[in-house]
Amino acid sequence: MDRRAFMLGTGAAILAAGSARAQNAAFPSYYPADYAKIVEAAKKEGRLLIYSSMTTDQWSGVVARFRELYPTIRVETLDLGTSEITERYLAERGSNSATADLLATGPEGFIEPQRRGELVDYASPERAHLAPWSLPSPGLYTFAIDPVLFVWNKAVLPENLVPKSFEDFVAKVKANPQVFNKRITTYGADTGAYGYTMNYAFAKHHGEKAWRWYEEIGPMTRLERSSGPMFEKVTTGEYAMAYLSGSGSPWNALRDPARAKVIGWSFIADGTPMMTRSVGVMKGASNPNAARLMVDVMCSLEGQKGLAKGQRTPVRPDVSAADVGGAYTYTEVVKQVGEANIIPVGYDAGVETNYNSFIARWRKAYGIG
Amino acid sequence: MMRTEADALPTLARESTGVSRYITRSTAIQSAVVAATVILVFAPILPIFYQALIDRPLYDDGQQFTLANLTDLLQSPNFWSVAQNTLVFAAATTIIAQVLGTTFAILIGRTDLPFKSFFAELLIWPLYISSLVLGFGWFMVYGPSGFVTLWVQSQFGEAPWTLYSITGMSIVAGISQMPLAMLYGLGSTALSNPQLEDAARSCGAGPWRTLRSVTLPLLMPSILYSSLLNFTIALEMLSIPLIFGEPARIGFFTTLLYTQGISTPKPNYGLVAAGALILLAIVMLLVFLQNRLLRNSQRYVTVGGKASRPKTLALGRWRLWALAFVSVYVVLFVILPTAVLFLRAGVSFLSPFVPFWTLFTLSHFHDIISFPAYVRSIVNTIIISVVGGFGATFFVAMIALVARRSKFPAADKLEYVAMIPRSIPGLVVGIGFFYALVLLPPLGWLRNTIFVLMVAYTMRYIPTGYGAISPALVQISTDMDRSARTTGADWWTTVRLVILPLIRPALFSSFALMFIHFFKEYSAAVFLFAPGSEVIGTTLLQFWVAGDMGRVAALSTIQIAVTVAFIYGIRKLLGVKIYG
Amino acid sequence: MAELVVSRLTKEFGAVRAIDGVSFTVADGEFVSLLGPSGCGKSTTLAAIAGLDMPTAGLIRAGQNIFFDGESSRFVEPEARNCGLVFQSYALWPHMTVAQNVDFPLKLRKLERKERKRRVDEVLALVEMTHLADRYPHQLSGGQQQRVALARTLVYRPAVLLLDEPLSNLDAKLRDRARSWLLQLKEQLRLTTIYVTHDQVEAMSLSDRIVLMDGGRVMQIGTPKEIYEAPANPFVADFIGTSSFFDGELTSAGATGRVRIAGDSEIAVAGTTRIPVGAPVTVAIRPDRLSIIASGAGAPDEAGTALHGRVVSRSYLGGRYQHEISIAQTLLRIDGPYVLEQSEVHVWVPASSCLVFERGASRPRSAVRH
Repeated sequence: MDRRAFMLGTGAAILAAGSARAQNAAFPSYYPADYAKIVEAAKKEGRLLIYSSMTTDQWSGVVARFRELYPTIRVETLDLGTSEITERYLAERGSNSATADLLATGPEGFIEPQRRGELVDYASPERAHLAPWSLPSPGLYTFAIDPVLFVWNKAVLPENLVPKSFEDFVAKVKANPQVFNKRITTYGADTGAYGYTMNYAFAKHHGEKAWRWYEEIGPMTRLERSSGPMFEKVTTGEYAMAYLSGSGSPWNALRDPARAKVIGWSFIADGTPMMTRSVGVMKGASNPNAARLMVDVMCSLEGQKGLAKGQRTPVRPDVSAADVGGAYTYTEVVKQVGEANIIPVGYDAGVETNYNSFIARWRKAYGIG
Repeated sequence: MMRTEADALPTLARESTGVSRYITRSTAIQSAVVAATVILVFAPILPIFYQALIDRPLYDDGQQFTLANLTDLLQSPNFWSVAQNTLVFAAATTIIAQVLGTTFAILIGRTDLPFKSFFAELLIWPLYISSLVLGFGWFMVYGPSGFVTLWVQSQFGEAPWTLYSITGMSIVAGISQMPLAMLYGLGSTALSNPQLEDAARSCGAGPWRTLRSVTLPLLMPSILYSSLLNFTIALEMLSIPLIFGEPARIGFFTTLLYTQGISTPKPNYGLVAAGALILLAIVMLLVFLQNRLLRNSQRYVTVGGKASRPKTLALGRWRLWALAFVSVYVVLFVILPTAVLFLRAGVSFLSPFVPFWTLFTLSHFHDIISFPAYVRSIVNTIIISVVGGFGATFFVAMIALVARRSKFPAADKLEYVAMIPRSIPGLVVGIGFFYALVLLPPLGWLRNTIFVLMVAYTMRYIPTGYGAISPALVQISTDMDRSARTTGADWWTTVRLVILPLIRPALFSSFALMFIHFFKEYSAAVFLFAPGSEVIGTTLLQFWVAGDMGRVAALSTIQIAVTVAFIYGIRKLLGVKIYG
Repeated sequence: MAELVVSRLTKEFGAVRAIDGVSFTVADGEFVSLLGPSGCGKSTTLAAIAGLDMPTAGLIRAGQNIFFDGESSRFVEPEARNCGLVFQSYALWPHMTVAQNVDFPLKLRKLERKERKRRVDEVLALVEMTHLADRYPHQLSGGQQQRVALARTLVYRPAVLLLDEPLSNLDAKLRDRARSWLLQLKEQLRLTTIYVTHDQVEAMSLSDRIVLMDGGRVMQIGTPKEIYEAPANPFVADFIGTSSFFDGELTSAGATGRVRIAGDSEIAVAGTTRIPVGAPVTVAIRPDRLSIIASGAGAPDEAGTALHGRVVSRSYLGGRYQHEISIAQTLLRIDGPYVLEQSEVHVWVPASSCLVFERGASRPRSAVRH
């Protein structure tokens, strides 16, 4: 070989390697070397479809980050209820029609898809930075949590009746029926996946104690199905207190200082359930590469910060309170409540098999027909 | 004027023998209408029917036939108390809606009530709002911590009503459905013949007797249609049972299906489909009964060959009472709930503990117009409602004309087919169409567009439009068609130039109804929308589930404003008064 | 422009036969009435001719055009038959003016605007409705609406004109005027016309021939004079003009026969050639031939019978008196210029005014009995 050609060839190779690394320099060093290939393929795909139970608002921070990185890829989110997400995906898959690339929902939404092997076992480079509990199964990534709270109306509930723990709450309710009877509310366990999985985890955590509590306060409870009416009625004082309430609505509403005068909230000292939201790349994806990119963004530090902007609580251990302007992160919640008092509501095989018996017992405890 | 050959006119006679006799422009149009109706109505129903009878989701392999879905449903705990609740609720709602609706129809359509047009506008407002939002408005006013409730409590110690009971819920539902009964009644009163009442008065019947014995019975076709419609709507109503029934632990058929079939961790669409079949059977029975009652429909002909102008009935000394009644009703049941809804749209939250005038904000509206997806949902909804509304009205008019005014074989059976969609809950219609499109890949392009929404909505609301048009047809004497035929017009020309112009008020009522329903629809869209084809209904639902009540109120306000503006504008354009 | 032939036309509604084997022919330019009591099938026949109803069997032909043939199942739609039908209810379209109503058939035939206007003006002038051309139907009186309805059919020169009881909704005075006006129009236009009515005065005064119907069947076809003078059976005799009826037995036949009636009197009757002696018969008598005679007075020189009867009632009809006289269990009605004061009278019944029919041959449904 000609010496010059050799030099040129080597120089070119170095240049090429150098530019590749320059490209990779946009990504953290722990990203695989061939990540750029995925990016190229995704750009060719050009779009991404996500079925999720999050609103456009809640996605806005994450999507903004994604667009920063990949401006040519169009992201479309479809906001559906949990069961509709699963049904729609499976029905479309069953007839080989175009369907979502990603599903982002609570664990119950993934039970069927997992059973049918619909999850792609994608190993995100961000795995290493995530807590083990947020990687429930291959291909599934928990990217956000919702702590479950006590929420009350300050004008209706006197200071001394505000409970700290659930045990405390039950005792106060028993002692002051004139204040609490038919003025307390929660999600019915039989109204949807959210209420069911939460109560299941709660009862599992506390054991028989939980059932005694249910029997005490159940008959006095007015059940609601969604956070909207629930929270509105607490605001107007129709309800004194919502227990085991989702945090999305209240925290969102409490950004308004006027609201804060009326509404009080706290974590549940002896056991705060944490609802999880997970995401996974689906086998039916038409844009599998774009899907992978999004998963990585959602689990990345910047993406997690973006989630907080959308009022979702990020799970990455290295997101600090300062990063999210004082909103809560998983770490912060753990600090407040204590590790032992976190009840993660994740994937549990018993959820599916024990449904009927649990619901029957729960309904009996709550005095429903 | 002796006849000469020069006077001879071009003949209209056609060579008609054998097969070509059957294939004319008119029969081609009639066949197309029948085919389109059957396809449209059964397209979503067949997958549902199928789903009800198999043991696993449609898209799975290894399906086996089973009746388990039906038996499971019938054996659910509380099925019979739930059935009872539902029937009582539906009956009470229908009675309230019909009594109020017919009364207002007569007051506005036939009497000299003052400020008629003003009241007519306001009385219809509840129809513009989806029952989900209406329920919300009511509970902000009459709920346990509603404005009026609290005020009454402060004055009298106790408010004597509760919305958390079947009675309370029936009142809310009945008042929200009243506009339907009223609109149907108005379509009829526009065509009524006051000579028939004069005949009764001249026999010595006082105004009340005349009302009972002549006016009301002649409104029977429209009363029956709207009763059937309202009863079915109440049967398959999900929103009000959900908002008020669940906290009060009163179970209804639809919430049963929803709880056990849709919102459970493992959805059981077989159960939902079985429930839909039961509802279908009930509605078919009711339609059959209705047809028997209207069998001798010649009784109801009021627009005969002889032409005369409808006259208004003088209320005399009842005028002031009527005015008071209508005003009180309008203030309590229309203005208050909507006013509070508007208020909620403009404040960050509502609570008796904070004076609301300190909480004014435009943030809800601002949020809505700053997200493209939300704006798109408004634009999509307008397009669907205007274009779809026109198309649906025309289509339904054709169905009514073929069913009632043509000699097409088995044309009268078409009416049964037309009534079927009402018995299917909106959610199920959406599921049905979703499956239908998924199972037929060639139609895949329809999916995720606004066209599929137009199609699904049209299917869902055929009975609504039909009920506005058909009674009006009954009141037009067949001499009108027959005379046109003898002068040389074929069926299609007769329909176009004679019958359709004569039922213009009913056509407009039908368009108004279609527009309103399409505009506020949400349950049928849940399974059919996609990014790009969002509608106001689905966006509202998203806000609701997320707990953004301020945005719910703001979007509803926009919804009402646009609906009112359109109806008003189109009415000015077409020059048709809503009460003829 | 066309001869209309109806042959063995039948229409069944379920088990009921509304018309049963009806046959008649209307010559080109002839004015024929379908006359009969309500329910006799005349309107059904008219609807069948117009094509608004599909008959069960039979043939309807206008000239060489077959409108309906039961055997070959050929049926021509009404819009292709070029008939003009004037409805009893007029059926004017309320959303169109008089002029627009009349213009409609011309629009269908795609004539030019100028030509249409000419014809519309012409026919409105014919029916004297030019000054009301821009009115709406509800602004017109009954009589005016009827004329517009007629104009609407005439404007397109139909081959056959069909009129369904057009005068029944008018008051008596108006009806008289309308009748004479129709007569004028008929003479002017000479259209092949079928006129349905239950009023014999209309039928008799307007028609060239009458088809008398009862119970879905044709009772008799003939000119007004034929039908009046020689009714084919008691029904016709009763329907046209009025008759009084005696039941009895034929005691002798011939050019002048004799019939024994109740009370054992015998009356002389006209030709009874085909009826066997001894057969039960009905005798129909036209009252305008009867006269009151003094008792015992000699018979006028014609065959006849003097019958003795009791005056049952007297009424004044304006210019004349009508008496009901009871003879042989029958009421005879007689009109005359003077009132009869006496309670017993003698009535001269000329044999020529007595028509004999075999009993059981179409009983008139509304025979006068007491």
